[in-house]
Amino acid sequence: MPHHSRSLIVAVGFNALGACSCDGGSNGSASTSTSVGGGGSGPAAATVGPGPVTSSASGVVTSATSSSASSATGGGGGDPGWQRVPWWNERCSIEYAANPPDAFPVLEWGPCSEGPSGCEVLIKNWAALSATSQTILEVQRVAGGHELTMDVVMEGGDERLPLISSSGGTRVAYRRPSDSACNPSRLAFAKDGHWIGAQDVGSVSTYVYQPEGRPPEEAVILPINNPSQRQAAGADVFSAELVFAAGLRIFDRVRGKVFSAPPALSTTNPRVTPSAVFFTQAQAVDDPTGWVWDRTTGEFRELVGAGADVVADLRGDGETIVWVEAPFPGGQGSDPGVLYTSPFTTDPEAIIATARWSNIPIPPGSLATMGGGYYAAVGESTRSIYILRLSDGRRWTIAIPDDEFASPVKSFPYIDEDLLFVVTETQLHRIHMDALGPGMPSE
Amino acid sequence: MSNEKIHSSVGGGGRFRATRRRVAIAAALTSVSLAATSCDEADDEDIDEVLGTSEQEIQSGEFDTEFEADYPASVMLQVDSPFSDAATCSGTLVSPRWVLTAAHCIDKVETTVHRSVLDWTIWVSPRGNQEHWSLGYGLAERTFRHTLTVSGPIWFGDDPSWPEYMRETDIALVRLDERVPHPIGLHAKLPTPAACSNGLWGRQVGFSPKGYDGEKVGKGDYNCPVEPGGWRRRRGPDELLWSREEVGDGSVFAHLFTAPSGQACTGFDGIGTNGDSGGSLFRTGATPALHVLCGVISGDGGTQDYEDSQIVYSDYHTSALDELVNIVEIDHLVREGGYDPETPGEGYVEDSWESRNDGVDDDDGDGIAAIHDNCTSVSNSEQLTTFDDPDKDGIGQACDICAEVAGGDNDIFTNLNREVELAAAGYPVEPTNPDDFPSQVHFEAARATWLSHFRPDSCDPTPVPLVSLHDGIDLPISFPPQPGSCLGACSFELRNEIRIDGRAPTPDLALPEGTNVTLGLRFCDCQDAPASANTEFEQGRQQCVTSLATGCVYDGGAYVAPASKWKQIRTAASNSGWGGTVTVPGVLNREWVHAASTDVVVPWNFTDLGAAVTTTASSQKVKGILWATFQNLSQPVPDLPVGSLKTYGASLGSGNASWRWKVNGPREYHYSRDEAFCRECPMGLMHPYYQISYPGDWRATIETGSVHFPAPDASTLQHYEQARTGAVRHVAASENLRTLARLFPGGASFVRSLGVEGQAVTRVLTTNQLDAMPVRTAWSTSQSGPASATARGYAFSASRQRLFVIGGQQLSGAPTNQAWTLDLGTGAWRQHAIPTGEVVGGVLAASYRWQDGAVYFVDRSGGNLRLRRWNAGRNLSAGVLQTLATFPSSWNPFSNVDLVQTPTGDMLLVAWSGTGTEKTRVGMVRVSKSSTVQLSNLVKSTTIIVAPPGAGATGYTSVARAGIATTAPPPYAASVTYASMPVPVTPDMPTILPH
Repeated sequence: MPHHSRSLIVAVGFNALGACSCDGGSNGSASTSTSVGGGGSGPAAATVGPGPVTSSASGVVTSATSSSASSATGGGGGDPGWQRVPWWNERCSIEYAANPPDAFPVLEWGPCSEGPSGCEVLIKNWAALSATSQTILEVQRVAGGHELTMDVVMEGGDERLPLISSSGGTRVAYRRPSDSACNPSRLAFAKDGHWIGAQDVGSVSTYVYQPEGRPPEEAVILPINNPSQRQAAGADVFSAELVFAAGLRIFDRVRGKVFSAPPALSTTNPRVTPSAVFFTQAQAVDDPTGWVWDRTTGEFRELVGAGADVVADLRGDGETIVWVEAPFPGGQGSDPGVLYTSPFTTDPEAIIATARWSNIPIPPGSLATMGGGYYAAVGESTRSIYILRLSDGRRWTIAIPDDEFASPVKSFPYIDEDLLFVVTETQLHRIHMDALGPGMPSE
Repeated sequence: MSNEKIHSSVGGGGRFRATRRRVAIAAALTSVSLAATSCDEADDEDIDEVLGTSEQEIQSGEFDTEFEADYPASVMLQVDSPFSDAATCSGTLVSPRWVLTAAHCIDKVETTVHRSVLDWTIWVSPRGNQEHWSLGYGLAERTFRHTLTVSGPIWFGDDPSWPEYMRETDIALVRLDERVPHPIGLHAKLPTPAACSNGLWGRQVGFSPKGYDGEKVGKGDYNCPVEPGGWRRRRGPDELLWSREEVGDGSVFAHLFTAPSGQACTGFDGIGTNGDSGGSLFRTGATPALHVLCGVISGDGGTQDYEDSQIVYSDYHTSALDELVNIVEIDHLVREGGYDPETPGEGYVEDSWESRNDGVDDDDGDGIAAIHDNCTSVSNSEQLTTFDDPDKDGIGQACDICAEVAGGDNDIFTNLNREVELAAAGYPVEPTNPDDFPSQVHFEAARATWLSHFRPDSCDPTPVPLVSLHDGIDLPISFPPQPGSCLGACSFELRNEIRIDGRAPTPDLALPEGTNVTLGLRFCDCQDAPASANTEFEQGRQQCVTSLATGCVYDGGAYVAPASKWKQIRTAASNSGWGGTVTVPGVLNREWVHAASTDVVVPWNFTDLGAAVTTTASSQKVKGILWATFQNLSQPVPDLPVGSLKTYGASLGSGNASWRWKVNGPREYHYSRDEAFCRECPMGLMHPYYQISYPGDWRATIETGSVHFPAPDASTLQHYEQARTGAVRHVAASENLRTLARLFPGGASFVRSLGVEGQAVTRVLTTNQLDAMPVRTAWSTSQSGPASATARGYAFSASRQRLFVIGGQQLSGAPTNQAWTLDLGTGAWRQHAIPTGEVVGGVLAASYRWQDGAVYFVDRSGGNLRLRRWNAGRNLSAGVLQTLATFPSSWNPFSNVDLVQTPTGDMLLVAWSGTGTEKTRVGMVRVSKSSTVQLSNLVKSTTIIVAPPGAGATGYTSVARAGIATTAPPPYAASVTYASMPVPVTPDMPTILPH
C-alpha cells in the first residue's frame, strides 16, 4: 500500500483556516483589508471596496457595492496567499488561501429578470475571473443568515472552493490550480469546522476534517482513501460515494470509525442527517430502493422499497422521512409517482407511510433537498420545482427561474422556511419562500 | 484413540511420490505419537472455538474438480531440473507468490547448498489440469513460472544457519516470477502452533493421476486405478487424526505427522500413487476458509501391524510451526531488489520485516496486514473466521462490489472482476502489493491494459463493448470534389465516429449469428475537469467523474434523470453492412450495434452536443466520456436474459472527438459523412441529404431540386401561402434543427413556428416530430402586446416557447425603442426596458441564441447595419443591450438579412436579395463559450437564394434559383446546394466592437 506523506512541510505564516474575519461586521469594510499571517509572511495588505451589507430578515446579502477592483482576483483584490495543504501528496496540488477574502469576490444578489416572485440571482461580479462553471455546493443557516460553499472553475482552469459567510465575504477558500491533476472534494460544513479533501485518481484520495480556526496541519485525515464521485456530510458524519456508485463509505467522527454499505450494483445519493445516512441502492438496474445507515447501531438496512415501482428519492431531516415511489421511467420519460412521508425512523418496521402528493413527476435521480420543514425536488421536466411543507402538507409548484431557459438544473442544494437555492448551468438563484404565495392545499 | 506410541523406522521404507525419482530420507524416526492422548484438550477446545469443528461430509478419494471451492491453495508443479527429466509434484500457495513444496521435488539431493542458485524452471499450475497445461497463459488455465533470473534461488529448509528446531530436511519454498492472482488461486492460511499441534484432524491434498475409488482390495487398502483426465487434485480418502513427532539427529531434521493406515491406496500412503509429494496437510475446518496448512507431504513411513489395522505412516515435514510461519512470511515479504544476481548466494534482503509489523500496512486496522488482507480499505477481520469471498476473486465481501455473478455462472475464469475493484481503488500508480508484479515496468504494463480495456461491469461475463468517440480518418487533400452547383466553394459537413470496440480481451458475447444488440449511449461533458484529465484513458475518465465541476456522476446503470449532466446520444444506423453504406434515417432513432468481435464504426456528428463543443478558429472538439449500456437484443438468446444484460452491461469510454480545418490551406477532413438539414423548411424543402461513403471509396449523392412535403391540411397550406406573399409574418424557431432534436427528443408536441398578423400572434404551428411539417392552429391572447410598428425584429424560441420582439419604427418613423416578450404558455406579454441612451433602429433580422439566452439582431443606424445583442435572459454579465459589430456600407444593398443558428452555437449572417451583381453574402458569426463574438469567413455569390439557408456546423444549405424572377409560385425550380465557408475575412467584414 503506497503511503502518501502526511508530514509535508509547508510554509509558515498561513492563517488558521476559517479563523479570518472577512464579513465586514463590526470592523466594517476596512476589515477586509487583510494582512495575512501573524508571522508576517503573508501578502501585503490590500485595500478593497466596501464590504457586503447584511440585511433582511434572513440576514442574507441583498446588495453590496463592491468596487470593480475588488473582483480582480477576489473580494479583497489582494493576493489570496495560496499555499499547499499539508495533508496532500506531492503529485498534484490543492491549496488553501491564507487570505481568504482575497480568494473570491464578495457575493451580491439582485432580482431575477424573470422567474418566480421573490427570486434573486447571484450577480456574477467575478467577471474578471471569467468563471466557466459555477455551482453552490452547500448552504447552511447560521446566526445572521446563510453560509454557503461553492465550486467555481475559472477561465484558464483554476478551480476555487470558497466558503462564503453570511455577509457575502469569503472566510475559507481552497483551490485547484489549473495545472493540478487532482480534484478537490466537496467543501462541506461540519461541526466546528469543515470537510474538504483531494482526489488523486491515479493514487488515493484524502478527506479531512478541518477544525475551525486551526492551521491546516491540524486537519484530521479521515480513514477513507477511496476515490469518490460524490460526497455528503453533516456535523460529525462524512460519506463518500465511490466512483461508478461502487460503494458507500461513511465516517463517524465521534466514533472514529468507517462503515461500508453492503455491495450492490449501485449505491448513490447519500443524504446525511445527525442520526442516519439515507441513500438509494440498486441490486439490479432500474430498481433502486431506499436504504439507511443507522448511526446508533452502525447497521445498514433497506428502509423503503416500492414493489414494482422504484424509490425515486429518500431523505430525512430528523423529524420526518420523505420518499417518492414512481414507476421506472420508460423510453419516453417518467410517469408520475407518489410522495410519502413517515415520522422519522431508521426501522423499516416503524415506517408509517402517508401519501402526501400523488401524481408528482419526480423520476429517480432527481435533484431534491429537504430542510426547515420543507421537501423540494426538481421534476421530470427540469423546469419545475415541487415543494411540500411537511407540517401541513401544503404544496407549491414553481418554475425554474426562467432565465435558465433550457439548460438543466445543476444543483439544488438547500431549502428552509426562508430561502430556496437552485443552481442552473448559467445562474445561481435563491427564492424567498414567503413570496411563493399560498400554494395548493394538502391532498 | 490409543495413547500408545508406535515406533517405526522410515529409513529405507520411505517412499516419495515425485514421479521422477524417490530419494530416501535418512531420517531416524524415533517415535510417532498417535496423538489424541497427548493433545491438550483445553487447547483443542480453544482451537475449535476459533476454527470450528469439521462436520462436513467426507468425500474421500474423489478427485476434486472444484478446486477453488475447498483447496484453492493447492497447486501442481512441474520442475525442469538441470539434472534430469522433469518431475511433477504438488505444492501449496503460502502467499500469492510463494509455493511451499517438498525439497525432494526440487531434486534437493542433487544440490548441495541450502539455497539453490541453479537455473531451475518450475511451472506451477494452480488448477493442475494437464489438459490445460499446454495452454500456457490461456484464459482457462494459467501456469506460473519460477526462474532464477527473476525470482532468485529456491530456499531449502535445511539451512544450516538456522537453529535446528527450525530446519526441515524435505521442505522447499519456491518464489514465482509473478503473483498468482486471486481469481486463479488463493494462498493457504498459514500454520499456527495451536492449529497444528499434535492430534490434529486433517486431510491430505495433492495431485496425482490415480485416484481412490473407495473399493477395499485388502486389509485397509483401497484400489487406486488410473482415472481418465490425468492429473487431478485429490484429497485424502478421509479426515484422519494425525500425530506429531520431532526428529533431529544433526543431519536430518523432520517434524513428522503420521496417521493410521487403512485409508490410502494400495502400496502408497498418500492420496494417489505419485505426484502428491509436496502436497498439503490441512487441518480441516468447518469451511474451506478455516483450513489451516500444517504440513508438506514428504513420503510414507513404512508399515507395521498394530492391533488389527495396518498402520501406514504418511510423513509430513513441518518446521516447528510458529517458525514456519516466520520463514514463509519473511520470505514472501522480500521486496524487489533484495536479490542481487551478482551475489546470488547472499539471498534476500529482509529489511521489510519490521515495517511489515509496525502496523503501517494495515491501514484499515483490522489486524491483517495489507499483503494478506482481502480488503485493505475496510476493517474486515471476519475473513479470519468466515469464508467471505464467495466469488473467489480474492476480494473480501467488505470490498467486493461484484461479489456474485449474475446468471449463476460462477466460473472464476469468467469472473475476472478484479479490474472493477482496481477501478474503485482508483487504479493505483503503484502496486498495492509489490509482490504482485516482478517490477514496476510489469505493473505499469498491466495497468495500461486495465486502463485501456476497462469495463465497469465486468463482473458480468457479458460486458458491453467499449464505445468511444473518435476523430475519424484523415481524407486526401483532394477530397471532396467541387460540384459546380455549389454556392461558393463546395464542401461538406463532416462527421466523426462512434466506434464500438471489439470485445477483446473479455470473453466474447456468444450470440447467434445475426443477433444484434441495442446500445444506449450517453455523453457527459468533461470540459471543466482538470486540464490534465485525458478522457481517452480510464484515469482521465475517473478524473472527470470525480470532479465537482463536471457533475458527471456515474450511477452504475441507474436511470439518468433529465436533470443529469448525461446527454442521450441518439443516432441510428442499419444493423447490417457495417462495411458498406450506412444510412441515417434520422437523428431520433436508436443505435444498433452489431455484436461482432471486430470494431464497428458509426458515423455521427459530435457537434450535435451543442454547448459541449469548443470551437476555435480552426477546430472544434468535445471532451467527455461516453457511457454505453445494453438496451435490448434483436432476438431472444437462450441463457442470456435481457435483464441480466441490462443489469451489468455497461462501459465507459472516451467521449473525445475533434475536427479541424485550415483557413489558409487544404482542409483536413475526417470522417466523411455529410448531412444537412434545412432550418425549418417553410418553403416546403425537405432535408437535403448528402452522403459520402468512407474515404478511399467516396461517392457523392447530390440531390438537386427541392422535395416537397404535402401540406397536412388546407389551413396550414394557406399559412405558407400567406407567408410567401407577406400577408403573414412567419416566425420560425431560431434554434437549429439539431438543437430542437436535442431539446425535444420525440413525442411531445411543441410550437415550432408562429404567424404574426399586424402586431398580433394569430396562429401557431405545432409538431411532435422534427421531420414533418408543423400544423397550423389558431392562437390568441387577451393580453395587450406592443403597439403597431414596422421593422420589428421577431425571434421565436421553441425551447422556451417564447417570442421576443425588439425595436421597430412608429408610423412617424421614430424608433419605438421597445422590447417585448410573449409567453405562449400563459399568453402574457411583457415589456422590457431599453437602457437609457440606447436606440434600436429598424430591425432586419433577429434570432434567439439558445446557448446564452440572448437575442442577436441586426438593426440599421444611420443607414448602416449593426449586429447587436439583447441580453433578454439576463444570462450574460454584460449589459442589457450591446452593439457587437458595425457593418460597412457594402452590406446595405441587400434587402433581406437573416441570422441563422448553427448546431454549435455560431450563427450564419446572411444577406440576400442583393440589388447589385452580388446577390448573396454569407458570413459566420462565431460566439465563444463566454459569448464573445468573432466574425470569420465570408462568402460572396451571385447565386440567388430563395429562403434563409439551413446552417450546419461549418457550412450551409440553401435553395438556389437559376433565374431571378420572383413571382413564380413554389415549388421553385431550384437546386439544393451545400457550401462551406472557406473564404477568409475580406474588407467587407463587419467591424467588431469591444463587448
